[in-house]
Amino acid sequence: MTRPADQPGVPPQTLGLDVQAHLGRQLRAVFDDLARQPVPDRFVQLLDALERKTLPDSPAPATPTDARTAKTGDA
Amino acid sequence: MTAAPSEAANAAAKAQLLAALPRLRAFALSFCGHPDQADDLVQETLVKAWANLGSFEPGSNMPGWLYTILRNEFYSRLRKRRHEVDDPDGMIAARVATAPAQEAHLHFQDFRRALFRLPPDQREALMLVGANGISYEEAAALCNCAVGTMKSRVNRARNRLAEMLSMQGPGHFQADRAWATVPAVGSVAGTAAV
Repeated sequence: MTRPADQPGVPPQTLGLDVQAHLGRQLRAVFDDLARQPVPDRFVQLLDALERKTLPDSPAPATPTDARTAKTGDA
Repeated sequence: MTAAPSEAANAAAKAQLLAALPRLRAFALSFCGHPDQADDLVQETLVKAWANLGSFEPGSNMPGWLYTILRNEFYSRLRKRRHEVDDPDGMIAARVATAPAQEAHLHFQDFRRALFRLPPDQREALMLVGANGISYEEAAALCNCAVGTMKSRVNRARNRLAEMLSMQGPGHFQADRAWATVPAVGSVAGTAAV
């Protein structure tokens, strides 16, 4: 981990490197824990729905921009 | 606005969003701590991201782009809800179940509780720089602040965490294992050093 340079307005670094390393490990553990949680199905379904909405639903690939704006209201 | 995305481009965008979801959600949880709020935040982020895919440059940093949307949403909600109550004991982090030994688990929970007592900007700084190893420069860009401000937040956050966990100064690190049973304040001579 890099040490922040001394700067005006930056509080002096008073923590020992072992403490900083310990905090870093704990922080990573907390974040990894959060990131390991299974993603709820609702998000997968939401993305599926968003994808369907932006697809041109007629076989002719009409201007998809219009299709997109026209369909934003139906959610 | 660029040309409307093709089917293939949409599928690719969806795959990228899916891949980014676990970490995006972790950031959301680290922002607000409450699973329901965090998931609302993630949902809003996905909807906004999808609506603005045209403004995302293919090949650029998708997670960073999503993070920016997420944090904008979080802070705009925070501004609307002035009565934001920190509830460290009700937060998701305290309920996450993957901690090994009982003693370690207790320390881990103390840590998380302390983390969620930090102001959001300091917690965010720690999550970006401390937990994810993002450079100060990149973190500052993500948070739209000066690099010095980011460094300052990280330092303050670290110092406050150490203070809350009674681990100030190198000599007191070992006490971290047993602080719950030790009359911490009296023995921490270095308290005034901060």
